Amino acid sequence: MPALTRRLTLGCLAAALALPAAAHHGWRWTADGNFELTGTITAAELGNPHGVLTVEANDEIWTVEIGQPWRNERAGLTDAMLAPGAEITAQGHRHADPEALVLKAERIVIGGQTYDLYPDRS
Amino acid sequence: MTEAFAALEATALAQHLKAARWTYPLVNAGHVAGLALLVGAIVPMNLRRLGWVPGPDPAAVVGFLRPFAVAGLVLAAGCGALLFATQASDYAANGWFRLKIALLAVALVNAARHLGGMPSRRGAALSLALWPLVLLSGRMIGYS
Repeated sequence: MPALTRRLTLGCLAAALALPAAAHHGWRWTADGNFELTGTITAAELGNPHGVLTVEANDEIWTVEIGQPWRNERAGLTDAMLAPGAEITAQGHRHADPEALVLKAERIVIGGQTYDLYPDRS
Repeated sequence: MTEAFAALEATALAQHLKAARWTYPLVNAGHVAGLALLVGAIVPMNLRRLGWVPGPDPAAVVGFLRPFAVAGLVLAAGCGALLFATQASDYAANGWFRLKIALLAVALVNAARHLGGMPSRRGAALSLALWPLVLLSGRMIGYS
């Protein structure tokens, strides 16, 4: 391998290994165990890259991440169902940092009806 | 200003992107491709200009790579403007976004000073530092 190629490859490899493996998308930032939260939606930001609900539960303000519009629609959720004031139960995985009140939802339960955002995930 | 951002979010194009299944990730990919082209041209160009890597005549390297950097910038900025429109108020209030735009402004002024000719050593070093910082601060928006 030419000297420059070798130097650049090693340099970039070292940089890649040194960078922290923080991830926002996907599930790597979440805790392993399932988690459930029931509360009232106080704010809803729906749309790409993914929807974000603010949910008041047990006097705590939680951030619940839901799907992109197509995923919510596929699950049977409409924007009107996720409007402020709605009572919901969100099931999924919470942020790996126990201080962070953030939940990434796999399923949303409204009025006893379950809406599955990730049918392939248990 | 707040109203301008709200008006931007209310445009048909922004509304479409916010709800679209394919267009939004496509525009997102365009933004990334633009960055890849831009930084991919800027890094070797400046390394050669500074004499830190061996290679062809620095003036030839700069002349050859500059059009690619400009094309990458245009693609990244165009797609970036579309992504901004979907959540203009949020982005405008985001600290990382503001830092990115400030760094971008400095990088553009630096680039404009030696457009058409060879960059000074200082200009090349600045370019080599600034563009990756623009990328980094932009990426941090998703983690804030």
